[in-house]
Amino acid sequence: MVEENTEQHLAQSFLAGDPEVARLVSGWARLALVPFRGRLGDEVEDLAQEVLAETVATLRRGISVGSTFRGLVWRIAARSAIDRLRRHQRWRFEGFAREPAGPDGDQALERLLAIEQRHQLLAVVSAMPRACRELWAWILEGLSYLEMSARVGVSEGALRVRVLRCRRRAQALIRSELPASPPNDAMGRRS
Amino acid sequence: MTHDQVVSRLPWLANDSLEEQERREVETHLASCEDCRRELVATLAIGRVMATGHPSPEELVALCWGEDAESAIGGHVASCPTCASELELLRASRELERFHGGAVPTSRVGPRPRVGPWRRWSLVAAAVLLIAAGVSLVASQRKAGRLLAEQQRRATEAQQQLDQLVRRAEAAESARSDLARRVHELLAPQAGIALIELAPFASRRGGPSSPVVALDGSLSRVLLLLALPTAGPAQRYDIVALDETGKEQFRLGAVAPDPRGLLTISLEPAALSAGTLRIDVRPAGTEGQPLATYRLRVTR
Repeated sequence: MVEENTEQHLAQSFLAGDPEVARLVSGWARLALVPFRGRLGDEVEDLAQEVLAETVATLRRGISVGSTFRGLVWRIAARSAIDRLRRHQRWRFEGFAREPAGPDGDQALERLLAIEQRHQLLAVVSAMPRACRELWAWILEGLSYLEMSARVGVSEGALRVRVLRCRRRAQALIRSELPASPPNDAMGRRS
Repeated sequence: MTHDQVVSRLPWLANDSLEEQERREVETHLASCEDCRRELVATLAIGRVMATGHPSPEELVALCWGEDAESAIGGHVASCPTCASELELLRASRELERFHGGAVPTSRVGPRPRVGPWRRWSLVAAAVLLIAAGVSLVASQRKAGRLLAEQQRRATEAQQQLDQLVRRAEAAESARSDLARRVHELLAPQAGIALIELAPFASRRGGPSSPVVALDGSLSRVLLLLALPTAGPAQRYDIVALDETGKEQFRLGAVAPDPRGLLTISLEPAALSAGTLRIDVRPAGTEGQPLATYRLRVTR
């Protein structure tokens, strides 16, 4: 009971703008983000501010602090950091979506992108070989095929072929997971 | 650029990592090739699936904090390099939370929730003092270790120098003995000379008994070589020989040693009587305690 009172008291003081509590919470956020500094660099400082803002918003929405106020701040910081990491992916989804891709191409892509049932996407990705997922993770990070071939230790041509095979494998998996699609769909199938 | 070359480069066109020239060639080909455009759309779709086909950040956080034990996510994370890397970062963050401590101190609740700054500063000062003491202790231990090692090194060097001096002295003594023996071997048989080398009696530490000279008719001279102790204080020495009764047998004054530190005495055999002879050597013109004493047994 004392602990709950303490957490409530801290949360209220934070919302009330108590500078000492704000410093304490800011310290928690920065500490929670320490493991992400290696990949986020200076962005961590901005992210810490975002964490504080989101903490305020969460408290104002009346969400229960739960067992610990510090745990809430920590989870918000951790989730925000992962979110920020995923935004680092360099994949031009929008730039090519309007490319002419045949009479049904755009519709097929839209249909595919609209299907965001998480379990289906998870099933597709989970079924991919680990090596393929690693290659695609590097592509999404923005690595060039020169950098990737150096990492893998194969020639550039061999690497491109590997990625192409992984892509074909993924296409086959998506076909098996997704419902029947119209002709000439985004997976390159023709009727 | 051929169709296959273009298709194999599409993932890197999408992640914008192609060289400028290469990118232009691919885009030029795409503009005129409908099949390749379909391949591009398919590549984009695959990339989208690979990017989004992971547990959400919220799900990963819940999994890490032990709030979501959904097996599908756990199974995915176990075999997904991307999620495994993200989960590793989350676990590191979680460990920091655990390491940071348990609940917020209850001293923050109540009428005086704020901790006075003096307390924090005193803790910081105590920590600084503790660290300084530790550093000082380590430094003094290292310094003591260095001094000890230096002393040991010097002792070893001194011992080596002493050993070297001893070896040199032994070598010099051996050379002198060899020389005397060779002189004796060369001269004695031909000229009937008895060559006796005597070391100071006091310096014999349990060595052989006094040298013996047997006087017979074949001897014409007795040559005594008295080895002086090192660093004798005088350049010339008085030599007195006494028999067992204390009667003086012969006396020589102001005898100069040779460069090797040997006093050479040439005697007629008749000057020596049978028995043990004591020979005292003193600095020339002095009385009292002899500088060195030698003993010689004479038989007939």
